[in-house]
Amino acid sequence: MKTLLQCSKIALTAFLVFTLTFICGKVSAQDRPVTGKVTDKRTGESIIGASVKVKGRTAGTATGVDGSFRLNAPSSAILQITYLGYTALEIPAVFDGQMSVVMTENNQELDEIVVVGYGTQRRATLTGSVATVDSKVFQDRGVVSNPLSALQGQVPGVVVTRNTAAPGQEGWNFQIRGASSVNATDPLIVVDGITLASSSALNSINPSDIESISVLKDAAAAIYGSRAAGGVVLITTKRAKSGKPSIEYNGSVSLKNMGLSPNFIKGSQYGELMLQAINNASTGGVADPTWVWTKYANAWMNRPASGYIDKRTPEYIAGGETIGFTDVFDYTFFDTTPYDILWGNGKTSSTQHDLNFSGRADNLGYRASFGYLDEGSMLKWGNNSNNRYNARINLDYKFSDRLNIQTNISFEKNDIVFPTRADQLNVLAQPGFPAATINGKPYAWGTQPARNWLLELGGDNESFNNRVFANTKVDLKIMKDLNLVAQGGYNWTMTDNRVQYKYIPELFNYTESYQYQGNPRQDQSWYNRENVKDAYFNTNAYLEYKKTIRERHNLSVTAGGSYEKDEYNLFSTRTNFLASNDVPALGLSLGDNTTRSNSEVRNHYALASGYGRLNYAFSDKYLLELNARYDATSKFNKGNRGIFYSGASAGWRLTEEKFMENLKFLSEFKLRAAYGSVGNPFGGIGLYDYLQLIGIGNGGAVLGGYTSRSVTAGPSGSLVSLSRTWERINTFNLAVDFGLFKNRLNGTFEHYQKRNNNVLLVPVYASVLGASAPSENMGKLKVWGWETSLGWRDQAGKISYYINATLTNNNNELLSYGGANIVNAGQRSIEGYPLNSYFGLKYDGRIQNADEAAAYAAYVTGNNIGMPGTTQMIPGINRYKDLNGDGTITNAGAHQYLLGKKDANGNAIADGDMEYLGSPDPKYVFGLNLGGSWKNFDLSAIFQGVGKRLTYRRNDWSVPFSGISQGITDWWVGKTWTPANPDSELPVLTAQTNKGFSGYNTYNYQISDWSLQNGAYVRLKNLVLGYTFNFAGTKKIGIQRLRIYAAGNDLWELTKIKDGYDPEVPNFASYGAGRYPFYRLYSLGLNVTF
Amino acid sequence: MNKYIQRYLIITGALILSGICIPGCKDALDLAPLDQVSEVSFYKDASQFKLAANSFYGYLRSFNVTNGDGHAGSDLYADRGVFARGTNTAVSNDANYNDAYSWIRNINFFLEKAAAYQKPEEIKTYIAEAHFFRGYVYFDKLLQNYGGVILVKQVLTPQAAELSAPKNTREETIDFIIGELEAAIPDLPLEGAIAATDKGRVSKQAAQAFLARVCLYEGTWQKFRNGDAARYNALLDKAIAGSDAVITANQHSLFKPAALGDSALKYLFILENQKSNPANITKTGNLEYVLSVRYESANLLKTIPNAISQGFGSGNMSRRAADMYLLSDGLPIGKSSVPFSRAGLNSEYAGRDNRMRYFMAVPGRYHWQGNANWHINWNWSAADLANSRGKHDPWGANSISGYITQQWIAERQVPNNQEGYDYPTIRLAEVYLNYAEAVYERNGSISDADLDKSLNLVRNRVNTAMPKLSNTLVTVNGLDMREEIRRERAIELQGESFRMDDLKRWYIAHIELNKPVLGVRWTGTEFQTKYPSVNPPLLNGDVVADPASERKFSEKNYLLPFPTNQLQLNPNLVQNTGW
Repeated sequence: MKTLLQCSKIALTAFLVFTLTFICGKVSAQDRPVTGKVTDKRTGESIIGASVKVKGRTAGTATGVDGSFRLNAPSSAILQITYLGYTALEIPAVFDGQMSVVMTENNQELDEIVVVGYGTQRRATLTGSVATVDSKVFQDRGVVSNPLSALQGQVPGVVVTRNTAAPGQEGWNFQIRGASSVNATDPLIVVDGITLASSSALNSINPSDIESISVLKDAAAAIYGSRAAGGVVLITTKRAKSGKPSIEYNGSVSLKNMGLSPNFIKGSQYGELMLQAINNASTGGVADPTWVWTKYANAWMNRPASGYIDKRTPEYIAGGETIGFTDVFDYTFFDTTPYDILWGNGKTSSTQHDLNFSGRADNLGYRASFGYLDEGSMLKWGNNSNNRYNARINLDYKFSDRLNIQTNISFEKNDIVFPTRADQLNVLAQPGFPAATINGKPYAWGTQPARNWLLELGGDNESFNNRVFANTKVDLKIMKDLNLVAQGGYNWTMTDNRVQYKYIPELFNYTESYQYQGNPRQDQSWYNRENVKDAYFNTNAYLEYKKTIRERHNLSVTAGGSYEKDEYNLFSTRTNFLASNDVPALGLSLGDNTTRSNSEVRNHYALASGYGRLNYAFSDKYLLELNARYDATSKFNKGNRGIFYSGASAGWRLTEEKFMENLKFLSEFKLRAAYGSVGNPFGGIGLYDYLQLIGIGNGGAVLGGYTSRSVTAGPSGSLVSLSRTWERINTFNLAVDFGLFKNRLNGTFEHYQKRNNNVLLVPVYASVLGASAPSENMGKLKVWGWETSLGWRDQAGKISYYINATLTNNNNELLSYGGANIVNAGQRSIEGYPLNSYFGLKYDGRIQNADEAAAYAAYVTGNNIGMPGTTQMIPGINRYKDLNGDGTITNAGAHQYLLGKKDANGNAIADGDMEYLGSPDPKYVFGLNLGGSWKNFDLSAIFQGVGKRLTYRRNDWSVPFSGISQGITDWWVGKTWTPANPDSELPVLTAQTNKGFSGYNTYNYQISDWSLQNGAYVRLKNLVLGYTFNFAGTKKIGIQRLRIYAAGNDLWELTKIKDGYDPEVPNFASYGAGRYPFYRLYSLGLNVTF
Repeated sequence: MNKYIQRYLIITGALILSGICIPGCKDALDLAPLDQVSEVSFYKDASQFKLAANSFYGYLRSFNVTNGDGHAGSDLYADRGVFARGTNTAVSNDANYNDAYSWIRNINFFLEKAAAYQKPEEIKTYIAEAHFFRGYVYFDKLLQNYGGVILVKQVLTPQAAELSAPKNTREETIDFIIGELEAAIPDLPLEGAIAATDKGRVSKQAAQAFLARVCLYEGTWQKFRNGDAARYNALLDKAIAGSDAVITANQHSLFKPAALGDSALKYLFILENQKSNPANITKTGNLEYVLSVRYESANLLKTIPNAISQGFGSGNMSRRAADMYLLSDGLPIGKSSVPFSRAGLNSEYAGRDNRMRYFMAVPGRYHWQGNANWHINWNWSAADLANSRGKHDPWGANSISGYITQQWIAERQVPNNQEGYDYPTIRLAEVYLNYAEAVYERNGSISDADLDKSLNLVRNRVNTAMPKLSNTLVTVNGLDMREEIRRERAIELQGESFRMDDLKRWYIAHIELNKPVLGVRWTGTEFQTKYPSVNPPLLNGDVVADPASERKFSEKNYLLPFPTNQLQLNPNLVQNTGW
């Protein structure tokens, strides 16, 4: 019956076709009807809704429910058949009979060519864990100062963090699948096949030159052997594409606007709160009225309407000095905060311009690109800028069918200027200072010049970074199936650091009735010049053999060798007592020879390696990969130089199996497993550890006359090691890749484990050894985690859209730490716990009354946690638990390595009262990428965040009145303990005092389960709205493509952080650049292609 | 055929290319340090051994290296320090202990390299210095603090037995120290034979003086603990011989320029090469220091630390220290006929040993301090006085006893932290006092001739009119010779970290340190009337700087505890008794 029906359908169709052909033939003399049916190659099902049109015409048709189509076409017409998710087809129209069109699923993911170590592979047959991002990640985001910044939230397993937002010194950092060691484990960066000596070279690469980035996360990295423990990042730069020459311009202008940052307390609250804090800390709860800070607090509360007291006015002198700072000549009570003075409106702008020319003629492909970035600074004082200039020329030349040559030359120049006195961002003055004197001159308060003026006048710290990277690759086809690839590269970096520390001759009080002594004085000025040159020479060559046997056995073998050498060269020289503030020069000094000094660092190392890989695939179904590397380095003594690393991985594409054919919804399903070993060269090993070095110093005793210090010589404080070797990390990876619903839904789930069974640790021996012992391969670390990504893309009418999500979780446990496990409060790496875990006290509520105070006072004797004295136990301070019940509270003890262990009676074995508080590592790191296009509009958004994280950030800006003479943040106002508010969030407000106990803050805010904060956050990293012009007019003037967009970075976030800092600020907001606030970035951009 | 050869050649070439590094890099991986010397390239001539010996001079005790070890604190200061109170606790990690062994390793390394040197005669002085410093470190950093310690005599590897060895006995440790010093003495030069370019290096006299210090220390330690008489007498004999050798060598002399009169001792401690005293005497005028840590302010070559140079007003002395000073007739309070009163702020300074008014700040007297209040012209003129700190106010914000030291306070114009006076590691005055004490303790008596040869030179340096200490003076006035010898030591060496060690070896620390630390008499004196709003804690009318209840020095405190991490790392290291 069914057959009959089908037959009749065919008959009917044939009839219709015939009729229509006949009719249409009348309409257009040339056109004839074409009929056909479109089916899926794998499943054989008809494809409904595929678009079919004649090439060169706009109108077309779509396939019907049975996959059939019919349209009129001229003879020798080319039909274009397209369908989302399938490879587009162009086939000649066939007029006699039904065309049978077979479409294959076009999964870009699967067909994508992925760059792997020493070669490329198809995504479909990959067995290792290789994540990729393409150039889109870096495009159209506004100013991207560092490629790493664009990777946040993009790659599962890759966690990108930043330390500061200071232009040019953001301190971007990234880690692939968490730690692999207690030592540093930087990822290895390879650009166009050439390894970089240091990942810092990434900072100045122009993001718009990047074509793709591959991240090797598991045993696939074993081909990089001793350097792959932190993962390998392979960057490929853009080359000419086929087609006619094109010129492309991308430009954007951005507004930076200060984001989350602490608020500083205003003068209107300052005096009252300070007095309250001093009172609380003082014996009996009453401040010493004669103490200078008490009087200062009172002066704030009774400040004159003018906001100003000049100590040199006759009235004031006659009235007698009432506050008591002897070195200052005025008191200012203006409505200012130090933060507002430094950052003003917190706005600045940046621009970025990229221009490239590319094209391909017969044998020659070229792409020349130029980039310029001008990054502005929100800091209103001093010189602060980041300018980056990039030029890159990528050439490829085809000499013959056998011989190809590629040459890449890049030049990068990165000029960063920062105030020398950036340390002035650390500790800010109290509120009320004027930004300048009444006439706009530099203000000082006594011996302390105002910080903004130290930034403004203190001199510049200039860093001129130049990089020239050149490499050439020769690709020679020796015979069928056999290629030789030889590559040589030379990476040359030169940094010229010039730091000037200026003297400041003119400083005044506010009304300029008094001029202070210059500070710093001229003899305190200095100028330091430092040149750092690093030349990294790299050569490698490999043979590549690829063979397909009987169409089913795909075999490829790669084998090669490499030699790399780094030459580091630094000299630094300094002159004190500058003759001129305006012309800093080493030769212009007023001082004698002792005011000049110089130093030099030179060293080198080399690495020689052999490596290879074998891939075998059976029918693209069963996949196997083996890879290996042998590394030998100059860092070890002869005889102990070489190490062998290897990895193996296998894959099984179940969707290629017959028995899976019925699962129609499943377009791709692949299982992968990998196991391998990689090494870590970055931590714990010096360049010449096999040799006893002799230190020469010139700071010895003053011997002979009193004219010089003696030169001393002696062995360095570390013992020689002849036996140690690189850490070896064994990685295991199990993954599943899947595609559903014709690959509209794609996903990967990976589980991994890393075992580092020879962590390099410095064993602690009895001090009688007299030196630090060399590190030994003695620790054991286990790392495990999972990561997943899920993507959906589809088209709904004219809207096409995508959503990609990534989620990563990583854990580690230090299994063995060589027995040296003494727990002190803070972040420690202790056996049985994750690396750098928090250890601290256990919070036990607050003292609410005198009885509780008296009871708690019993723990004072013998404590070492900074407890107040027995008579100083005031209500409102934190209480901590005596965990081991020994009657006192201590943060360390002799047997702390037994932390967490119980004795036979179930009692804790510990001398101290520390407990494990958690790990600072971010957990559940996620990213969400979504976007779509409608007509000429496109929209994309990236969310990124951390699901769980503990942060301990109780530093000077987080603790109320942590320093009495400092600028104070105000997040805590109204949250501190008072008798009326006994369940307050924070302990009683205290400050330093001259009578009583000054250590309440240190005591209350020390590390404990109470003082840790929830560091989880979610943030809108990036939002882009673009519009592509598609007017006939643009084409006419030669414009291929014209797009404008608006983008925003870090526009919004959700965080539980209490102290006002940005949640991405690390545990300790380090000084200097670390106090530079993060910003939101609003950009307008333009892409034009000619 | 031709085609095959061609292919073969290409493949061979390719293989060579790809494999080029592996054979070639054998040598390419031998990379020596470029900016550092190593033991392979060093210790090739005598001058390099000299540089190596120079590094030992950083091991000498000085201003900044006395804190945190057992030398700190005493009953003379009212500083409430944990060591004097006996409230110090066992620390986990002890820099003092760690430093000592790292220094010893450096010396051992030196001695091993020296033993391998072909021409030992060229470097014998430096070898002698190495032995001196090895003895010095074991004594000053280890034995005095911890008693017997693990003796490390060679460069150790992590496999060495010493890492898990039990500690050596006190006797073994002392004998090793003495052996080192005796090994050093023959090859060290006389002070006068040291070239100007080498001044400051260890002389034969320094080693002899230090040997005497060691032997006196251990001799009396044993004697007052009922040790073996033969042993302690032999040690005391060595102490006598060592100090006598320094005295008779006549290479050194006490600093007492006539121009400085009775203020000589005051200016000795702040003597600089810049004008630092009224007579403009510089360091060349000082022949008293047998071994010193040398500082120099010019060009900030090496300057003393803040805590010392800003010390004015922070060093509270105790009543014990104040009452130590004799009255001008050479007799102590209570025995003297010179009028003595505590009624006025400064009445107790009248008629005393001249050293009292120079070591201590006298209330009501003008005082100078370098950073802001320097002597403009050292003539006590109106301008000079105007630039002073003003008259000393004995009860200031930081006062706890009412007595303040003014030792080590520069009076010339020099910013804090930039002073450059030397620190006397060993000075002749100590040698004299060691001699006197050793003779007395060895024989139970001391002749007037021996006193005149030693102690009286110190006592009468700035007290020319004061009667000498003599057997007659002692007998007639019912004094105790031992007490008087000890008194002289307490006064003369008060600021040089001897007192704590002295109390320990005399075995009286648990008595002296447990007394309340008193300050000035308050009740009924000018203090009470002048400072009516101040209410210091009192005991029988005297200010209590530290009550007896806070003083807990017990038997265990005679030695410091070994750091607890060392006990963990070496289970065979037994903690000192009581800890």
